[in-house]
Amino acid sequence: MKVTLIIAALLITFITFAQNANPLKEPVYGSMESALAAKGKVTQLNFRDKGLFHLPEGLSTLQSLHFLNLMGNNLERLEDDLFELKELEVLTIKLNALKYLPKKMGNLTNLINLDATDNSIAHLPNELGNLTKLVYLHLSFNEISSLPQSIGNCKNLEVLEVNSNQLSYLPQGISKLKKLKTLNLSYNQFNEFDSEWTAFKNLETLNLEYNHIKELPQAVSNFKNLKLAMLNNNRLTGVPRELVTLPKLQLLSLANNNITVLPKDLSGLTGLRTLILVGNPIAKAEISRIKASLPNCQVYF
Amino acid sequence: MKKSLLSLSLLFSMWSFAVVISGDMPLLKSATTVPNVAPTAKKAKVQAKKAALHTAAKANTAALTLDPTSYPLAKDSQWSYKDDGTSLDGTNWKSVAYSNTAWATGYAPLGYGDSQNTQISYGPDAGNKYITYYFSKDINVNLADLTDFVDFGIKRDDGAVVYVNGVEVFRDNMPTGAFNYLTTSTGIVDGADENRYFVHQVAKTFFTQGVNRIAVEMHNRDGQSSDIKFDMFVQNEATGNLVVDCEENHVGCFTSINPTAQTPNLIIPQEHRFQLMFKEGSNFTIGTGTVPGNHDFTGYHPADGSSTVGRLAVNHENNPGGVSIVNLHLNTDQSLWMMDSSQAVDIYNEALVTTNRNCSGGITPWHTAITAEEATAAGDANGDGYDDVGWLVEIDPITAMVKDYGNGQEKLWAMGRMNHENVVVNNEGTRAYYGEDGGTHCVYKFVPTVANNLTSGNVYVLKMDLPLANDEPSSTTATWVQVPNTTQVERNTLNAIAGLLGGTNFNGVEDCEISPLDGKVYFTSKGKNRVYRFTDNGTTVSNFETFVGGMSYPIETATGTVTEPWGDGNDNITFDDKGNMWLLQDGGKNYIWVVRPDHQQSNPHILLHSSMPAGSEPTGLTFTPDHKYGFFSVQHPDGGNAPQLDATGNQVNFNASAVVVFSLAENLGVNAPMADFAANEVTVDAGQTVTFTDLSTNTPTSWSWTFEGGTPATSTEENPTVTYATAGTYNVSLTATNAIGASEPAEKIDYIIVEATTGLDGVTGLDNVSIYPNPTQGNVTVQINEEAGQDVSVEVLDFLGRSVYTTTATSTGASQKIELNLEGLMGDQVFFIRLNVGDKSGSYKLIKN
Repeated sequence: MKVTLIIAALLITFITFAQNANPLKEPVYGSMESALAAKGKVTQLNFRDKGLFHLPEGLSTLQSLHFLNLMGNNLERLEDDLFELKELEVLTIKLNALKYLPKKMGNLTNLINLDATDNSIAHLPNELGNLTKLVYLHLSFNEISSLPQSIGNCKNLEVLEVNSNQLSYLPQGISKLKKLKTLNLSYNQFNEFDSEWTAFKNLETLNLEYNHIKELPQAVSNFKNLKLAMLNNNRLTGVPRELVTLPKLQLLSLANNNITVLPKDLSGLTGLRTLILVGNPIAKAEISRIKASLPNCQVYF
Repeated sequence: MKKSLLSLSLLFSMWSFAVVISGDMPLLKSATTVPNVAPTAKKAKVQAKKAALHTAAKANTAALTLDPTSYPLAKDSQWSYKDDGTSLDGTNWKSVAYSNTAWATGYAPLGYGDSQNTQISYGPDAGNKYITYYFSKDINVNLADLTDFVDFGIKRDDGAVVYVNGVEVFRDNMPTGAFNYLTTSTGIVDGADENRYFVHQVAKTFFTQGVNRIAVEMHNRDGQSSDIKFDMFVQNEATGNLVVDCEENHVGCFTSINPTAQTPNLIIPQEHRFQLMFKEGSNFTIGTGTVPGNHDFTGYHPADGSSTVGRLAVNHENNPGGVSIVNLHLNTDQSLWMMDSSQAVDIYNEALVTTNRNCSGGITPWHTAITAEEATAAGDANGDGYDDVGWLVEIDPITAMVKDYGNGQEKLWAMGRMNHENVVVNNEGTRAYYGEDGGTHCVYKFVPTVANNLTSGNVYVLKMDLPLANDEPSSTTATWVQVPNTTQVERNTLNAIAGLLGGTNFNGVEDCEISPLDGKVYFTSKGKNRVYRFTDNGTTVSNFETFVGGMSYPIETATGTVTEPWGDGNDNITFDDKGNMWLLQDGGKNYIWVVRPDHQQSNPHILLHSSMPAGSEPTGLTFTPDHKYGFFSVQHPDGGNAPQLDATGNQVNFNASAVVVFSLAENLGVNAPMADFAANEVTVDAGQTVTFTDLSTNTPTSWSWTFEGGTPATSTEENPTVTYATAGTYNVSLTATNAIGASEPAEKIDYIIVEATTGLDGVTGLDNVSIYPNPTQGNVTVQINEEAGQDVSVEVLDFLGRSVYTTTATSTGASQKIELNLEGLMGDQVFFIRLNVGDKSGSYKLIKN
C-alpha cells in the first residue's frame, strides 16, 4: 500500500516536471553551435524569436531532446528532421506560419505537451491520435475547421484548447477523452452543444463563449466536476434545469445571450459564487428572485 | 437706457480690441493647430448609414439656467445649446446680455452621430440637417488669475467660431470673411481629429472682471454630414513650470539622434555612452547554465538606496521563461559597471511549476521585483487549483527567490491570471496598476487589503464612460468596475470576467506607470499607438486623455528639425526624476523616445534618444536612484550585427540579447584624455634642456608633442627632454590619445623662456652645449658635441671673476660628458663656466644652491 503510494507520488512528480523545461536541472541551449558542442546529453533547446525559416541543421542528431521551443519564427512547414526526435515531450511551435501539421507528427509518441497556437493551421492529421501520452494540446488561434476522429485516442488529454478556430462540430471519438479537465471551444462556429461532450466526466473548465449555441442539453447534468462554465455571447434563450444542479459549479457566465428567466429552483447551485448575466433581457423581478435564491453568490446583471 | 448701456459696452469691447491691435501686440498668436492631418472624404461613405440609424434622441432638453462656472473651464463641462435650426444671425446671442435660459443644457461633448455625453438634434431631415448649432456658457473670471494669453482647446467637428463677450476671438475650420448660419465649414474633420482638442491662444484682454460669456457656433460640413461634435476647455497657458531645466547635466538632457531605420549598431545621443553586459549565452556565476535570451524588464534594485551598488532583475521572455538576478557595482575608478555574480531564480519547482514569457514587470516600494508572465496556456500540473502560468510573480532580489507568504512559494494569485505585461505600485503601496496585452486588453487596478502586500485585495477594471473613437477618448471620465477575485476559479478567469463586466479594450496594454510630477497614471496601448493618462479618484477616473502618440512630431536634432512619425508598438515606459517619460518601442523603428513633461499634443516636445540594433527591440528601462544611469535590454537582435565600441573601450557586438547601461559620457567609462603637461624649468639659458612631464588624465597611450624652438621639434615620448639653443619665448603643445580617442590639444603659449647666456665672452662657435643640472648642488655635467682630438678646458669663475676650478680634457665627439665637482665651493652663488674647445669658446652661467 505504502509502496504504491510512493510510486504514485513519484509518477505525479515525473509528470509535473516532464512537461516543462527546467533550466536549473539541465541546460537549455539557445543555438545549434552550443548544443552540438555540449559534452553531455542535450535535452532542452529554446529557439524562440530566432528568425528561422527552416529547422536548424543537425537538429535530428539531438536524439535526447525532450523540450523544444520554436515559438516566434517564420516556419511555414515542419521538416522531417523534427519527427526523428522520438524522445520529445514538449514541443512549442506557437506563432509561426504553419498551414498544417504533417502526418509524421504521429511519430512523436512521447509528446506530453504540444503548443501550436497562433499559426494558420487548417488541417490536422489523423495521426495526431498516435500521441497517446499527450496531456496538453493547445491549438488556439488557427483556422481549424475539424479535429481528426482519432483525437479520442489521446486518452491522457487533460487540456484541450481549440479556441479561435472555425470549428462547428467535434468528432464522435472525442467522448473517449475521459480525463479531460479543461475544454476551451470559445470563438468558434458552434451552433449546437453536442450531448456527447457531456461524456467528459472530469471536466472542470468549459469555455464556449462567443459561439452561436442556442440551447444546452439536459445531459449537462453529467458535468459533476464542472467548476467554471463560460457560456456568454451565444444565442441561448434559457438554460436547462440540469445546469443549475451542478454542485461544484463556482462561476457561471451567461452574459450576452437572450435569456429572460432562469430555472425556478436554483438551490442546487450550492457552490456558485459568481453568476454573470449582463446583456440579457431579464426582468427586474427575475433578477431579484435570482439574487434572493443565491445568497452566497455575486450576481452581475 | 438699457439698450444704450449695452451699446456702450459693445463699443467698449470694440475699442479695447482696436487698442490692442494698434498697440502692435499679437492678439491671437498663430493658432497652434498642430494635428493638421489633411481631412479626407472617407466619412462620406458611412454617413448615409449613420444618418439612417440616427434617432435624434436628446439627453437633456430641459431649459435650465446654468450658473456661471469658475475659471478655468474644464473639458466635458455643461453648456447651454440651441439646436432647433433657427438662425441667430443679426442677434446679440453672443453677449452676456442675451438670455439663453430658454436653451437646452447638457454636458459636453455635445453632438450627434458619434459617442456624446449629450445628443443634440439635427432636425427632422437626416438628408438635410441643420448647418449651425449654438453653444454658450458663462464663466466667472478674476482677471488677476489669468495669464496674458489663455488656451482655448476646442474639439470641433466640423467648423467653429468662438466669441468672448460678443467679440470673435478665433474661428477654426471656417472660411474667412462674412458668413451666416448656412455657411458650411471649410474642410471635413474626421478620424482621430474628431476627438482631438485644437488649441488656440486668446489674449487676456478679451476678458472682463466677473462674468464672461463664452459663445460658440458650430457649422457642419454640409447638411448630409453623419456627425457633429463640440467640447471646449479654457485655461491658462502652460506657465513653464513643467519645463525640464537642462542647465545642469542630466541623463534626460541630450541632443536627439537623427531618425533612422535600424542599423547593425546601437545608436545613442552624442552626449551619452553605453556599456554592454549580461549577454545571452554567458555563464551564470552561481549555479550551472548560461544566461538565457530575450531579455525583457531590467529592474535596477539599489542596495540600501545606492546608485553604485545594486542588483538587476532581468526577465526572459521565453519558454522556459525566467528571471536572472545580477549583483553589480560601479567601479568608480574606471566609471564602469562590474558584475559580481549572477544566477537564475528558481521558478521551476513543484510549487511554482514553471514560468513562461516573462515580459515586463515592476519594482515595488518595498524593494521586491515583480515579473509578469504573458503566457496563459491552460494547465494545472501540480493540481493546486491555479493554472500554472499567466500570473504576476514577486521575487526577493536579495535572496533571488520567489516570495513565500507563509504557505510556501506562491504567485500573486489575487491579482488574477491574464496576459500580464507589467505592474506599477504607488509609493504608499496602496494601489497597483497593470494591464493586459492580449485576452480582453484591459487596464486593472489592485487595491491591497493591507498596504505593501499584494497577496490579498480587490481588483478593478477600467471602463470608459464613453467608448474610444478612432483611438481617441470621447470624454475624460471613466469608472472602476470591481471584478470578483476571491475563488481560484475567479482568479483563473479574471480577465474574461473583467471584459464581460465592461472593461474597455485598449488593444495591447503594455505598461502602466505613475508620473512623479502629477501623480497621474500613464499607460501604453500598443495597438492604438498611444500613451493615455488619467487621474485616479478612487472609484472614478478623470482627466483621461491622450498624452502622446498617433501622429508625427517635430524632432530637433543636431542638424536641424525633422518630422518623425511616432509609429506603432508603444511598449515599456518609465519616468525619470525630472518627469521625462522614456518610451521603448516594440514596432515602428524600435526607438527609445523621451517625452518632456510639458509635452502637449497641440504643442509637442519630444526627443529621440536611441535606435536599436537590427532585429531588436528595447525593453525594460529603469534608472539608478540618482538618475545618472539607465538600464535597459536589447531583445533578440540579429546574429549578423556589427561590432562597435562601448564604454569599456572594447568592441562589442549586439548579436544576442544583452543588458545595456547608459549615461552621460562623463559618468560612464574611460574618456579620451584631457591633455596637460609641465616643464621642469620654464626659464632656461640658451643651450639648456627642459624635461616635460605628461599630466594628461584618462591614461593616454600615445602622445604628440610640438616644441617651438626646441630640439627635437616634435616628440612622441611620454616625458621628452628638449634642448633650446636660441634665446626667445616658445610655445609647447601636447595631444594625448587613448583607445577612446585623442584629446583636444593642450597648448601653452610663451611657456618656455630661453635667455641669452650671460658670459664673459659670449659664445663663439660652440653648438649644443648642455650644462646640467643647473641649478646644481655640486655635481655638474658639461656636455659638448665637438669634433674629436681638440684640447678642452673648463674653468669655473666666481661672481668676481676669480678662477675657482679648472679641468682639462680632449674632445671625443658627440655627447662627450665632462663631470665637474663643485661641492667644495662655499654657499649659494652664481658661477660662470668658461669653456674652450680648440679655437671655440663659450661662457655659461651656473647657479649653485
